[in-house]
Order: sequence, then structure tokens, then C-alpha cells
Amino acid sequence: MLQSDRAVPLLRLSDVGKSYALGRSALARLLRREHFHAVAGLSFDLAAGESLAIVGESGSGKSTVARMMVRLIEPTSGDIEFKGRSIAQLAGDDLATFRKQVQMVFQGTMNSLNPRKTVATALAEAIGRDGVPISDLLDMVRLPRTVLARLPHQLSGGQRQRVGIARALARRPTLLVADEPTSALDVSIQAEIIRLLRELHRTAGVTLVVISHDLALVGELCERVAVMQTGRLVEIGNASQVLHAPRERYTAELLAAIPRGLAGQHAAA
Amino acid sequence: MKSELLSVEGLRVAYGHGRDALEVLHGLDLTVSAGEAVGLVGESGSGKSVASLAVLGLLGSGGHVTGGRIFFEGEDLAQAGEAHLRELRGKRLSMIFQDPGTALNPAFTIGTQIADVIRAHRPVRGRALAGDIEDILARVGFRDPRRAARAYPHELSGGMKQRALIAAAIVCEPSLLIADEPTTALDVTVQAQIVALLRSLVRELNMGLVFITHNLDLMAELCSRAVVLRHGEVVEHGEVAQLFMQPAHAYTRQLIDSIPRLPREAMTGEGRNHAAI
Amino acid sequence: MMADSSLPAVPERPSAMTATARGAGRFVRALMREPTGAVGLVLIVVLLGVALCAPILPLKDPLKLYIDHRLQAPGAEFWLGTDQVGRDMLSRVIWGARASLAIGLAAVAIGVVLGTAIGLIAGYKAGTWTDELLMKTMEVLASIPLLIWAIALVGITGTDTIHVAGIALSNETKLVLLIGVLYAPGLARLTYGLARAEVQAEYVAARRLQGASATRIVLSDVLPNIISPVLVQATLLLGVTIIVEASLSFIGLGVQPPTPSWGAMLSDSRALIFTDFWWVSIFPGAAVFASVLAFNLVGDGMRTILDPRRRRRVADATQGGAA
Repeated sequence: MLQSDRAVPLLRLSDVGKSYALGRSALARLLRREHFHAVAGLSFDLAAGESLAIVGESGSGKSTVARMMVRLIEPTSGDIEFKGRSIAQLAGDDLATFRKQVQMVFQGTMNSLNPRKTVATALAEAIGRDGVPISDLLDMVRLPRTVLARLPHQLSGGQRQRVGIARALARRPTLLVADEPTSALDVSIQAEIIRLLRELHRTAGVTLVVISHDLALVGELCERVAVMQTGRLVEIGNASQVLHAPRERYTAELLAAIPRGLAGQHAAA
Repeated sequence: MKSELLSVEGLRVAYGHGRDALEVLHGLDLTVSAGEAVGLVGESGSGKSVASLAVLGLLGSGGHVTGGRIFFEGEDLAQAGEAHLRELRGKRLSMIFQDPGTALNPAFTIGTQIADVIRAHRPVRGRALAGDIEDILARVGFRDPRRAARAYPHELSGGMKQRALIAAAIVCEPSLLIADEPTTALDVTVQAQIVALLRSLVRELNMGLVFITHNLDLMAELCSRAVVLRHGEVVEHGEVAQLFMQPAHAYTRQLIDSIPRLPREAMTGEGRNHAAI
Repeated sequence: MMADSSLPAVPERPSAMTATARGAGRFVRALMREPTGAVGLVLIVVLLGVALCAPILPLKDPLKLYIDHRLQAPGAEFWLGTDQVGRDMLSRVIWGARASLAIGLAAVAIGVVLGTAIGLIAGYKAGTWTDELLMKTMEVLASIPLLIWAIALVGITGTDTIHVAGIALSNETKLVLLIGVLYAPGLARLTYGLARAEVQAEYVAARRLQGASATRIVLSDVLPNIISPVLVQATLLLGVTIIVEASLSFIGLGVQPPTPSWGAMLSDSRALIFTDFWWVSIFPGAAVFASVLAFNLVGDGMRTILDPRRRRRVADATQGGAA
């Protein structure tokens, strides 16, 4: 096991690509030989303790990247290294350790939690034998004890999302990937969840990767921002640079499209 | 003097009957004049969608208007029969919904679906009909309207689908359009385009627009006045600039504050528009 | 802030036996609270009870021919009358229950287990060769009508007991296996569609990230969430099986005359349906009707109680966030 060295990034993506063979059936896919490239040539480093946002529109490949980071899907080219070791090779105990250290927070739709399992059961599953005690977990996400006996459909969207975050934190992960964590929520709840994530990043020292289509949102949360478009990394840098002095035209377009409220109205008149 | 197109007074809507009745809208007041865009702001459960469905008579099973009046071009729609409402829908009063994916019939081309709307209200056929369809598709921004008319919904992107829906909604030049979260499911660049399109349509057609959203910034780009709903009640209403600069209700303030903003612009409502101009 | 005494204990894992027994008890009680479920369950208990008790009930011999009392209307001596050859209808209907219900339950059970398993595996592995192989096999199986398969089976193995790998397969067993296997494709297709969609859910991905094995995810997360429509379908199949059994007994598969079975009794009495001798067809028909109804009602009740949204409605009033 490698010692955590300052020089070794927590996560390193090297020329990562993900292609899907086109075709309705396995046989068609074998015969057609055409591919759809969801992600191509992606390379960047993630340092321990930092917070990175990956932004892009639909079809940019950002969700695919997120799933590859947590090894829900495998890249078709390139390599992803966690603490210096390629994650594609992990198996057995090493894989189990990886699963403990790298977790994901999902969008928070109705199916983010098993509709038949109470919060208590869902969290107990996540905690396993050596996780955070359940009451501490609830405190971390600011949920009252009363939610334990509830089923997902008895929770509000914000509560479900907090449970999802608790589930991800159950075994003290080092890296947390949040895939559109606020998209399914009301505007006022979004702010709460962002605040929660920011707090967890600071106090628990969790490295945070947030996937979002909302640039303004990630600006409040992350130190670095990566912009993706049709599977490629367009720009990556500090949040203040990318969001206020973007180098790439696409980034500038995205920024220009953000509604500016009253200012926008005056501009249009 | 602007003519008032829509005047909703004390609208109440409930689901269910008798003892089990649940009132979801507790007295909404809303007015829209020609050439004016009014925002209806609220989160889930606020009753904003219910209000718009009530105006169009599309509440469906269980939901019904329990009080108030809906004056449209002088008549009370709450009392109107289904046949009359059907005449009005699409022709004088139109609506576009949040998810363009499900609002279009996947089995028919865009052209066919727009033709359906036209023919329901005007006796047009053949060459003239095709011409009308192409015109409206060009108007909403399709660069190749002929090809767009032949396309099926699944061949179009989300933004294009929404444009097609807008086309169907305005082709008969209604006096009022209700847009229920039309950009929520779309990317931010497409969102900006759709908002720009709506703005130009309001101006050119002198159309009234009710823009329903939970995003105040987005609403402010388009609307001059707004009504804020929460749990079925009007919490605040007035000129948009006023709402931003001096929100009277805590909830409005909360909505303004929760909108994520780029760090440089993270100021209170007071400072915002000054800094941006 | 809530006092810690209100913290519900995180459930320990009970042993499989006690868990099943407790679960079954809870299930039955819940079912009894539903009007449809209650009626259905009572009916089933009665039907099964009567079928099981047939040997100890004071019934006439179902095979005995009372030649002098052929086609006798229901009366004091023969409560449900007699059939064309003078057999007691009451005892035949009751004894027939054993065959029909046993075959029905066994065949459907096989179909459900087989079909669900295949559908689950194919659904979880949707898009891969496993999926294609399994589902295409099911389609091939389903493409040939039941009757053709049955004729082939009878042609190859005859109507006597055969021995395969040391196991004796009686005619009835062969029938049950055949029907069960041929129910699998329909149930597999149903399960496949449901499983395939359910596997996309975020909570399934979350379980994978917890390191849960595919088997555990499929059995403990996916299956409970999709089982409801499958069980309802299964109860419908129970009724169908009774009729199917009758048509197959024609070609020699299944219960052979003179052993009574409802299906056979129905087909034997076809000619008498609209005649004066109504009892010969009505009583077995009523028995089939009652059974099918009972199982359908139970299926209906099950579907209601299996819906997680019905549980613990108490807290609902305080929960906001509805659309």
C-alpha cells in the first residue's frame, strides 16, 4: 500500500475515454462496429482535500466521468489511479477498501433510496460493521431521529437527499463524488444542501467532486472548476479564473447564458 | 391604456370532495395585460401549476375550482363549459409545459402535430397549411423549417422540441400564453435562447405571458411583474424590480438569497442590479 | 432535539426461520385486513381444507358407478347429483380438487421460480450476451404452442411413469413440469422488463458502491420491488392451469380417467351444459370459478399490501414536499 505522499494526487485521470458500441442487441453491436464516444482524452489530477466541480451541459459526459471515478463503469481507454494505484485492477480486499474510501451522492430522485427499506435499514446497510454510528451520521447531515422509521416516500426531497449523503458518508470516505446533488430539489432546499456539502468538505476533510450543469452553484462550493463539452475537457482551473476570466469561448458562452435577473431585463430592453 | 387579458380573482382549487377535500390553492389574484409578461413564482407544492391548469380547465380528475373567478377577455372561464374552453384553447389561450419530451406525440412528425392545432381552429389545407407550418417553425428559430416539419420528436434535441411546442402554442396567435417551467428541463444555453424567443414573441404579437418558474433570476429576465406563491397562498406580488430590491416577505427574500450566484455577484438584492448595469 | 431514548434500535438480523415465520404471520394478518384479501384467503383455506380432507370425509367412492342412478338430479342421496355414468358428483368434485389444485399450484410455482429467476438475471445483465441468450431461449420456448410440446412429450415418453436420472416421473409430474416450464417465458418477460428498469435506480448503484454482491442486490433489493405484478400474474395463471390440465388430459397427459379432475369433468360434460342435466357441468364449473376467484382476490389483496406507500400512513399528514 502506498503511503499518502503530497506529490501523489488522490485521483489521477490519464487520457480516459469511454465509448459505447452502437446497436440494439449484443449481436448488432458486434457487427456494426460504430461507436459513440461519451468521453475522450480526459486527463486531470485531483489533490487530496480539494473540491472540484465538473460542469457541462447534457451530453457533455460529466455523469459518465463521475461513474468512472467511483468505478461504477469502466473506461474503455486510459487509466484512473486512486492513491497511485490503477482502480481498474482492484479486486477482493483492495476493491473493498476502495469502495470504503470512494463514495457517491446521487441526484436524489424518487429512486435514490430503496422504496421498501426504512432509513434505518438503508443506513445500517451502508454502515456495515465498522462505519460511523447511526446517530452521529444523522447529526452530520442534520436529520432528526424521527426519520429512521420512515420510508422514502414519507420524506421530503431535501430529507431524502440528506439520507443519501449520510449513506455515502457512512464509512468515512476520503473522496465523495456528488452527481447533480441538487438538481431534483427546490431552490430553497438547494442552498441548504450546498451549505451541508461545503461544511462536510471543510470539517470532515472529504475531497469533493461535484458534477453539475449549474455554474453559479458550483462557484459557491468548489475551489477548482472543470468544463466539459461533448466528452472533452474544455477548460480546468481555479474557480475564480474559470468563472470570471474564462480562457475558452465555450466557457464564456455558458457563463453568458446564466440568467442575471434584473440586469438581464435591462440589457434586453 | 393596456387591456387586461386575464384577471384571476380569489381562485381556489381543491382536490377530492366533501370531507376529504384538500385545498391546494387558497385564493390567487393575478392579472395579465396584452404585451405583458407576469411571473408566477413558487416551489413544488406552491400551487403554481394547479393555477395554470385551472385557468385552462385542464385540472383533470379530482381537481376542481372551489371559488373565485377567472376572467379572460371579459368572460369567466370558471363557468365556461368544456366545449367553449376547447374552442379557446390553442386559439386564444395557450400553454406550454415543462417537459417537452412527453408533450409531443412520438408517433407523429412535428409538422403533423402543428397542423392538428391549426386545423382545429382554421379551415386551412394543402399548400397553405404547409406554408403556415413552415412560417411558424421559422419564426421560432428553426433554420430549416421544412426539414423540421418532417422530423419526429425523437430526432430533435430538448431545446428544439420546446421550440416546436412553442410553435404549436402560438401558431393561432393566442392573446395569452401560459408557460409552465418551460426551461427547467433544458440546458442553460438553450434556456437563454428560449427566454429570448419568448421575449420577442411577447413584443411582436402583443401577447400576454404568464411565466411560471421557481428561478427568480430567470423570471426577472423576462417579466415586469410577479406573484410569489407558497403552499397555495400568495405571499407577495408586485413589480419585479421592487420584489428584488425590497422584498416585503421573508420567503421572497429566502428565494432571492438561495439562488446560487457567481461569487462576485453574491450580494443582497439591493446591490444586484446596480452592479450589473 | 429528540431524547435518545426515542432512537429505534437498529434491527438485528433474526435467523432465517424466525424471520420467515414472523414475516408470514404479518403477511397473513395484513392480508386479512384487506376486504378482497380476506375473502380470498378464507375461500382458499376452505378449498384447500376440503381437498386435503377428502380421504377422511364421509364421501361415496368417486369411481363407483351407480348404474341405476345415472344422471340423477341433486337430492338426498346424491347431494350434487350424478354424472352420465352414475358417479357421485359431490365426491368427484371434492376429490377432483386435489388433482386440480395440486397441479395448479405446482405448475405455477415452477413457472414463477423459473421465470422470475431467468427474468431477474437477464434484467440485471441487460444488454449483455447473458441477457440475449436467456431471453431468446425463452422466446423459442414460447414460440411453440403448449399443445404441440405436450404431444411431443407424450410421443417420446408415453403416458406411463418414466425414470430420469433415478427420479420417477409420473404422468401428473410430467404434466406439471411441462406446464411450469412453459409458463416461465411469460413470467420471465414480465420480470425482465421490471428488473431491467429497476436496476437503473440510484439505490441499486448505491448498493453496488457498498460492495454488495450482484446476488444480494438482485434478491434483497430488486426482487422485492418488482415482485408484486409477478404474484398477481401468478394468481391468474392458477385459474388458467385448471383449464389447461383438462385439455392436456385429452391427449393422455395428466390426470387420466377415471380419476376425477375438474378440468376433465368440465370437458366430459360439455354436451350437457344447456340440457336438463345442468348439475353435471355447473358444479365442477362452480368449483373452478370459486378457486380462480379466490386466488385472484388474494392476488388483488397482495398487490395492495405489498405497495410500500400504504405503510405507516400516520406520519403522512406531517410530511410536506409533495409535488
